[in-house]
Amino acid sequence: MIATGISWGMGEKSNLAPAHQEMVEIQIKRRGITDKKVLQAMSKVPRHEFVLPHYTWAAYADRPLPIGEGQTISQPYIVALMTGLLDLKSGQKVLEIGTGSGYQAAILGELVKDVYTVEIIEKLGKAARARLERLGYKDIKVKIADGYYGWEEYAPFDAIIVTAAPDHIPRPLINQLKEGGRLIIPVGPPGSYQTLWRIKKKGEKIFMQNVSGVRFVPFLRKL
Amino acid sequence: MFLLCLPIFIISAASLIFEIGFTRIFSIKEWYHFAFMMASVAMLGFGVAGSILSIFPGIFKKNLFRNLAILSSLFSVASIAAYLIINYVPFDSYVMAWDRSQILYLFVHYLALTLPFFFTGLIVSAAIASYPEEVGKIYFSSLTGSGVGCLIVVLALPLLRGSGLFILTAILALGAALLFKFKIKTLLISLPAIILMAIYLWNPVVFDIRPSPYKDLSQILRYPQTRKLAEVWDATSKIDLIESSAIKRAPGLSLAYKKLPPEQLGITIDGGNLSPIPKHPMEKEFAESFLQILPFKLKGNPSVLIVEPRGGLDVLLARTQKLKSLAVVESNPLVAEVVKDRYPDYTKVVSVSGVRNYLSRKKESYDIVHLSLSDSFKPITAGTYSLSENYLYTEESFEALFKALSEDGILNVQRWLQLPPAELPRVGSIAFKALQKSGIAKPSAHIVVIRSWSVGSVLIKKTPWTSPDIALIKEFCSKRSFDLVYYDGVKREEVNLFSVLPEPYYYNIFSKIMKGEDLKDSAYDISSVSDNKPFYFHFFKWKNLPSILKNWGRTWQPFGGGGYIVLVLLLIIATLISVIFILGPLYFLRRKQLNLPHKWRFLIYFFAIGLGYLFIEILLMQKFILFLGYPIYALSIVLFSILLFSGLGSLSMGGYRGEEKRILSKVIPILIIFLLIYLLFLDKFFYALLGHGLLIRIMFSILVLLPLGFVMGIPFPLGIRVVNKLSPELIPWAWGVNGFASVISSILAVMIAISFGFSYVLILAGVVYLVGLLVMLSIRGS
Repeated sequence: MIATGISWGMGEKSNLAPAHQEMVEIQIKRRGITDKKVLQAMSKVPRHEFVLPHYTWAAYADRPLPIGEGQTISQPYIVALMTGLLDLKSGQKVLEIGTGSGYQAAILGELVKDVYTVEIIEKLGKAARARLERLGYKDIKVKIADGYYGWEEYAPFDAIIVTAAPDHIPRPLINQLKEGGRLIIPVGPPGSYQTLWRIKKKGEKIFMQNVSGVRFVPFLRKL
Repeated sequence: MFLLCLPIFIISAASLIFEIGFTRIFSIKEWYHFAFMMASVAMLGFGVAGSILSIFPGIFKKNLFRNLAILSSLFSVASIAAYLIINYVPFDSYVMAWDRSQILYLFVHYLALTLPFFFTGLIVSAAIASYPEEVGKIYFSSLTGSGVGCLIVVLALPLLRGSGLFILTAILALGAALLFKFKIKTLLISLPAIILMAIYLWNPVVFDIRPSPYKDLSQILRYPQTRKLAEVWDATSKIDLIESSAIKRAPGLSLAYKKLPPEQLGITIDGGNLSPIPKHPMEKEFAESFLQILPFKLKGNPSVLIVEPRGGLDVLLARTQKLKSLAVVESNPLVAEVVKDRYPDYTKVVSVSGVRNYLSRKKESYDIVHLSLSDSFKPITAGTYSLSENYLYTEESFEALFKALSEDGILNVQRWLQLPPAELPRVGSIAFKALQKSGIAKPSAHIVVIRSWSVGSVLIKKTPWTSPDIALIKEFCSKRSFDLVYYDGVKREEVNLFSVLPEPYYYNIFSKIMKGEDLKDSAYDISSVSDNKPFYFHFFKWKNLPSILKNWGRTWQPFGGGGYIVLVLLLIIATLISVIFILGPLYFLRRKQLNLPHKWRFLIYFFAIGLGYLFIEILLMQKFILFLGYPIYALSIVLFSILLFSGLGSLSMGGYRGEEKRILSKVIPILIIFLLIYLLFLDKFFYALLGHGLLIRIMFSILVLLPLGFVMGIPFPLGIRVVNKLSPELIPWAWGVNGFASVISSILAVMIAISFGFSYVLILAGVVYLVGLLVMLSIRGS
């Protein structure tokens, strides 16, 4: 009840451990996410460090939260779902478009060493960079720029995750995907994703697959 | 009497400026939910004031003019303070489902908005209580003042913009205060308002509207190297022209296009629906990669009509093709004004008009009519637009568009895709019904549907699609990685090949629609909508309620993703507040009167006419949007006419003392006959005259509203006179119950319209008036 449903009470940081555990067990595991590495990452990263101080008490609740500048930190389940869909292996390189508070980047940082993240809003990008450094995620590289163009300097990437939905797929991101790379992109405004698309690149061919919840479509078609 | 009526006229005008002004402010600052709240807030303020004055009728009698001056001064302070409170008290509708501090902020907003109406209500009621013999003149001054206030908003908004409008209300109220009593003390009470006016003159930026951080404009202005090139206002909208390298909009662009999209500017309307303005003429290769280019592949050298292209992306796409002619219809004059500077020959092709108005005037036919996708993606559960009327996506509108097609012309309608499917299949349902109404025996043979991953197109052809057409469509889709959804005879294995959904949801639902099958099983309400129920964006089904409640506050949407539920909640909250503040004081302080004879009959009568009056008023404000083109014109003209003519109706009854029930027994049946005429002929009247210019349409509107408004003004004052004769102590209750009915009916009318259609609201209004009459006639005596 601390983290789910309607949380009216203010919580101390020291009391958040049970809520953190409950977040992983109830919000993520019970909804079908079983990837141990993802679950471990979600258990380890202190989400309360990534939310606004006056919403610390709600950090582990089953909902997105505002982080200022009109932006949000996604619902924990969505973070776990998108991370799982990236299908990351250790040693792989991942690019995130839309750093926000840096929470998703920190989760990725628990799974792979090379995490690159791009944020267009300077204030958020700077705050996220400082926060990630303070929490020990020193290897995560944060760039303040328009994410539409990806991060050419460090391309190609094994996986790219986009947290803000564009109305078309940015071509530079496809170009910066490695052979066999995956791109996860949502439809709908951040924090209120309607559905997710998973794009795979194989040679010149691109495969687009819609992911509703945690269900996977068993077949892919050629683009 | 003139010195009493003139300031009442002014303060009533200020009240209506405040009310309508805030509907615009909320549209710019937030979303439609809040604008919708204003009618009930106004009724609540008036209702509470009436209730208090009815309980303590002598409270302001001594030194009346001094007291009225004080109340006007308080209005002056309250109106300008309300504007600042709404701007600076940080209410965030996105987190209100779980952050309890938001309830306090919402309460502060509600209170701030109610107070000016409360003061106006006290002024008018106190004047009537002090000069009961002059009730007709006072009531008339108040109603005509309110009516004129409606017109002032329309004229003043382009000049004064948002903040200046509330400075104007404060100045008007201050003027009214000084007319009531020219005293230094009056000015002292108004001192906070005077100081705020001085601050406005010194630094108007303090008064700038602070839009929600989640609106498109707020978001884009945070991007680097972004600047606002222009901000223009008129009565209907606020347009911002933005330059930013981060603007990259290309809905319908194929993944097969491998270059970067060209540079764009952007425009927002009321801070939302960011629409691109291509900076340069478009390259053919880029244009050829869009979903919306398909009709041009099917029709060589066509005559084209593009509807509501906003920034003009679709116009430039069309321009890359060989065209016989191009016509563009843009309903927003400011958009046309801003966009025309970007394209040298824009004025040659554009008509500033609603498309239905345009088609009524022009009798030309087109090979391609394209309805642009000019609004942003909206999650269905947000319900952001579910309460707003839309007369473009209705059966009657599609019939008119279909009629405007050449012999084998194509109508192309593009919408966003959601899961579960919502917007696109509703277009399919509307098209199917419109074709049936147009006499097409097999609509499915005339409809083709294709989609990308985020956008879909419904293509409706005047003649049945042919095999060569279908072959060309298949090739078009295959080259650009678009998916086929539907054509007559499509096979399941032909669909869902490129942007792969877990199931071919769109194929499944369109197959049902095209067979005319029942859509009860669909996740959302995707049935067709007509002019009688023009709520294209209302997809709510009551079976969605458990899932909405389950996810309440878990999605990042206004009101926690409540959508339609917000409306129901508003009704409950408004009812509770009305019970507490209108009926509560009466119950505790005037309970004895409930033992008087005829009590229940009188209370039912005043409840019924309160309900009926607001049902008609709200309904007409919604219906006249089709005829007048914009909600604010409909709101202003309907309110102006109804209030003015009701005032005249009320004034005209001054001489008929002792004949109240006899007059009512004639007037209410006449009113019901008028409603019946509206029910049968109002739409036909609209369609017949839609092609005329705005000024002529306004004049016709006023003429049509005259007789109804006149008779609507009669039942209340005559009813009060009957009560005054038989049980005068019941008058406070009559005021209170009537105010209570007004508050709830303003919301109930919209709910009924959304659920069952406008005709039901009209019928119900007639029924409640009839009930009121029967109850009144059953009272013996007088």
